[in-house]
Amino acid sequence: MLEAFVAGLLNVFTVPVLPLMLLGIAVGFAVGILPGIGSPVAMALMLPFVFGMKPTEAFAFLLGMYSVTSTTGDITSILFGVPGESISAATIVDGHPMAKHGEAGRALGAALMSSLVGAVVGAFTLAAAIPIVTPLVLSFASPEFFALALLGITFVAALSGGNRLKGLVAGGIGLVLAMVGLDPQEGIERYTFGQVALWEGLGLVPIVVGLFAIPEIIELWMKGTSIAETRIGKLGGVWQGIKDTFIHLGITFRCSMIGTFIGIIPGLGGSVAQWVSYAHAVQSSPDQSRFGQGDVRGVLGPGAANNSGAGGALIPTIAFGVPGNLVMAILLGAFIIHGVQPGPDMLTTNLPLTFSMVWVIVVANIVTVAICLLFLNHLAKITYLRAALLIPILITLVYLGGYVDANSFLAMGLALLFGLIGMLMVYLDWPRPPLVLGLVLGPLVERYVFISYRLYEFGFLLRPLVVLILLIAAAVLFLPSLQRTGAKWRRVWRAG
Amino acid sequence: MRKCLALGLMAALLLMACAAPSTGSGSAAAPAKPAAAGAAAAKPAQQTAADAERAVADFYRGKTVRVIVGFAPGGATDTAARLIQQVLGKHIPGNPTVIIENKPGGGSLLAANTVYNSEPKDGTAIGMFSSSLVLQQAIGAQGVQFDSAQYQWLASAYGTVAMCATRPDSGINTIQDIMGTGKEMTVSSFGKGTVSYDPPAVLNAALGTNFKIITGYPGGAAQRLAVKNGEVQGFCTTFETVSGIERPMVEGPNRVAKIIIWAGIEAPDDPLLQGVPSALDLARTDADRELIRAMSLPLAFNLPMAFPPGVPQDRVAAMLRALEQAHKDPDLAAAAQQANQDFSPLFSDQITQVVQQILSLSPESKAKLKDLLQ
Amino acid sequence: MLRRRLDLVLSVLLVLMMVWVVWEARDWPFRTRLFPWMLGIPVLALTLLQLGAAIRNVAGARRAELAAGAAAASAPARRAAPPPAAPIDDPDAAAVPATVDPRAARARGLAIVGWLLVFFAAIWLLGFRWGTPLTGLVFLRYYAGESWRASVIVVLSMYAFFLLLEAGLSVPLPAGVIPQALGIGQLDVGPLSALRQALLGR
Repeated sequence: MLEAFVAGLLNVFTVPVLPLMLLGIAVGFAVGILPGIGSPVAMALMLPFVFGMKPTEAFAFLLGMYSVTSTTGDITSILFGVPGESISAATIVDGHPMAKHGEAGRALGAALMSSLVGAVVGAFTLAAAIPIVTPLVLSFASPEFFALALLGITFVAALSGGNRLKGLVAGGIGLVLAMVGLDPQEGIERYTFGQVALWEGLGLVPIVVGLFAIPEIIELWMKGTSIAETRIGKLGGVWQGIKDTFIHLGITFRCSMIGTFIGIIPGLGGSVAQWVSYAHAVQSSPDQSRFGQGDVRGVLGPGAANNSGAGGALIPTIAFGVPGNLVMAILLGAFIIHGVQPGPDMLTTNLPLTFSMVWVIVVANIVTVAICLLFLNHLAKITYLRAALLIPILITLVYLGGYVDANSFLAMGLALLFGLIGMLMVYLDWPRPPLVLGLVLGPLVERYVFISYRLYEFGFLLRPLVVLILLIAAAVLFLPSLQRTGAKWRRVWRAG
Repeated sequence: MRKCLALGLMAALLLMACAAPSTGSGSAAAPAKPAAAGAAAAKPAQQTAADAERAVADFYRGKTVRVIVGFAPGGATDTAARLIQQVLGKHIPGNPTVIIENKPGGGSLLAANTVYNSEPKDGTAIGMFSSSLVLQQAIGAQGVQFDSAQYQWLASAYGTVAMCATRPDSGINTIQDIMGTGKEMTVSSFGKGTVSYDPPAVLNAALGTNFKIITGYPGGAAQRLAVKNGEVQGFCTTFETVSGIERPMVEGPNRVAKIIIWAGIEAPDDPLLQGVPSALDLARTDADRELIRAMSLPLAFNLPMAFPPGVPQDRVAAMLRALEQAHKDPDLAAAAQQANQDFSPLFSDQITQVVQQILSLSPESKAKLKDLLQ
Repeated sequence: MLRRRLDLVLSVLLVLMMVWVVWEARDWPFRTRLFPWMLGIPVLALTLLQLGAAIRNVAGARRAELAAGAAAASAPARRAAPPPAAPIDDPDAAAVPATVDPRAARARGLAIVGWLLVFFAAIWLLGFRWGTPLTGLVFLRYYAGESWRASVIVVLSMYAFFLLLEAGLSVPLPAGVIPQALGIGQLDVGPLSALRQALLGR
């Protein structure tokens, strides 16, 4: 195994693997920074190019691209409040207010560094998990998936900001929206108004892009100035941001683990990881008052999680051919094209290939962070540009992202519709993250609860892993209130 | 700084506009060759054919042909489409660019509807969707907005049969173990109307098997993961899938399943099917046989490409020829070999025949199938 | 106050939506109906709670307004009544900084929503490659009053970007209703194929 570890690393630095990886990084850079054009779309576009390459080259190119998009997606989220990738939406919540206070450099530094830490943690978890990956993935079956989805939903409360009731309603609405489409059991249309285009449900990407990007565009124009409302002199903020990553290493590391772990579970992926880690960052902080207004910890959490997910998502993909997320599904296409069989072979005879994938993720992220650091000051200057120049470009990119996801105008219209809904929600103080979380997790909860019941009847609730996960969910839900009640009683005790 | 940007941009655009065309593509209106008067009189047939081809080439030159694939990128079906797309362009007169446009939805129903109704009918849009939709139309399923009889079928990718496999630890060794014995076998499925649901449902009705279909899994990979982790006892899908990307599941040191029945008209020549009974053989009445046949007919022309009605005949013929040549292209064979992808195409008339068979099933069968599969 | 009223309206709409969600499911088979009801009914309850909170909010603000009005009428010199404690922040404070006139901001907000619709229509009618630069040009030059130089630079980059996407990367973008009707929908990639060959080897 050690030989494969080293062989994988050496493979990355050969020609033409290295230049191809760098090309992939360049493409991923552009794709990540452009809001709306997500990595699934870009990966699909790049598929034709990998036909002529050898397996190591192809994966270096594709993974180089993929590793980068999570990092650069955060850049657009911070600078413009427009999610560069749908998995970078959580970075907006605190990252963009930081940019508005002129702290863009600090936010970018924090996002970049935490992304690097997350990516490295994810990649090495992948490597370390190789001996146990088969039993690990196999111990999760439908009941466990259901419990995990339920656990994800309990984070809705933590994402509600100040207003619990509105957060719960928003989460509930998200869950209801997730039911649009054909029901997974009987194939009957639910809330589709007879539109075949809605049979698979409302698209996640157009909704997330519209919900977060369009209100920012509207607000930007209403202000009539530039994105940054105040200037803070030299951009010494970048190094402060990097330091923040290590000052709050606990959050960075824990969120990396959360991202990796959620990436391992097929079907969850970055959309969930970013919000869960944001919620965790909020909950684990003694002082929660600044979250939503520009707390750097709100950038560290999602920044780390959406990168570590890359390594995590590779695990079920190469071990079982079960894609961890949409991008992995496309990567599997590359597997097929090259006749590489996902499965036990990847962990034995093809181990050097697996390790070179790990190394590509690590190296690509290091290269990206290095390049970004060089250009960060210039990037941050965009926030001082006049709004008018940016608006047509931002609007175009939002619509492009909405359209290109499913090649449909319906999706584009959905982006606009949810953009207006998002604006309403911002104006009326309704939190948006719970809605997205409900939308993502709803289908999983429904599918897996039915499958679990059909296979195990109610006994599925008694499986050990399920019990454990549900206990964690209960803790997430009730611990904060219990802590507060406990503190109250202690005060009463001391007073009396 | 801004000036440099503007200058650079304009320079780039000028460059692109002036770049000399490499393959003779350029203005759409190529000057017609002067026809020698004598030669025209001597061989009128060849001249017309050459003219026709030239007309088609003129149309396609510089254009983009969009293959609208009803599946998400990365899946086995999308990959098969991409393999074909790679070689198709050079066989079409005029050498247009061929691109894949993924339009997933409703199990490729959205793509089939859109290509038939709203995409251009000039030969630049080809639909590629699931052949099972023809059966869906036959039984009157909801949402079908096209007529298979009117679609201009070009070529399919491969023909296959359905099969069901079981885990050894399920205690089920042959299909007879679950036929009329009261013993049931759980199989994972990813939705009604798919190849993971229809075969076991039809077999339950036609052979009296006792498949307990657990549906709702989000896709083929999830379906098979459920088998690998022992959550269900078996699964059904196309033999193409099992002999291709999932072959390690049924063969080799890490096998987890054994094929216990196949359903179709003609068995592919593969050692995996040695000794495996055929559903048609086990059926006892004609009605039962017709049900099984109906379910397996679409599998004979899997992943068909089709032009909507209204595309001019010369372009249809040209595309058909192009596909025939593409399937003989050694590049395609090599890529398919590497990708473990089997191409055994049926063309135009052959597909139309099968489509007709499906559309003219007896009303009883259609009603029965509607019951089972809806 | 406008915000609280709007919030009330939204809460009412949500309740109505949830009622419809639950009602739609009444004829469905059990398994299809289970989740819509299992989720729909509790969420309906939550929206009703929210509606109650929104009503209390509006009522509380009204009382405060009346009290402040009465206090001002009877004793203008006295200190104004303390603002009511409410879940929603004071209306016009948060969204825009104090330096911008709220009414002007609102007008700009409505205008930009209008532009969002115009862009949408332009893309639908003319496709991305033509619709967005042309609309962008009109926006920059005639609405935002930008200089020719700035407008042309932005607009040219947008056009070039889409050219790159369509011709270079073969991204399938819609041609737009009008070009398609006129038969000029297809991008003639002839002149660009040489560039593409050089760039990408294809």
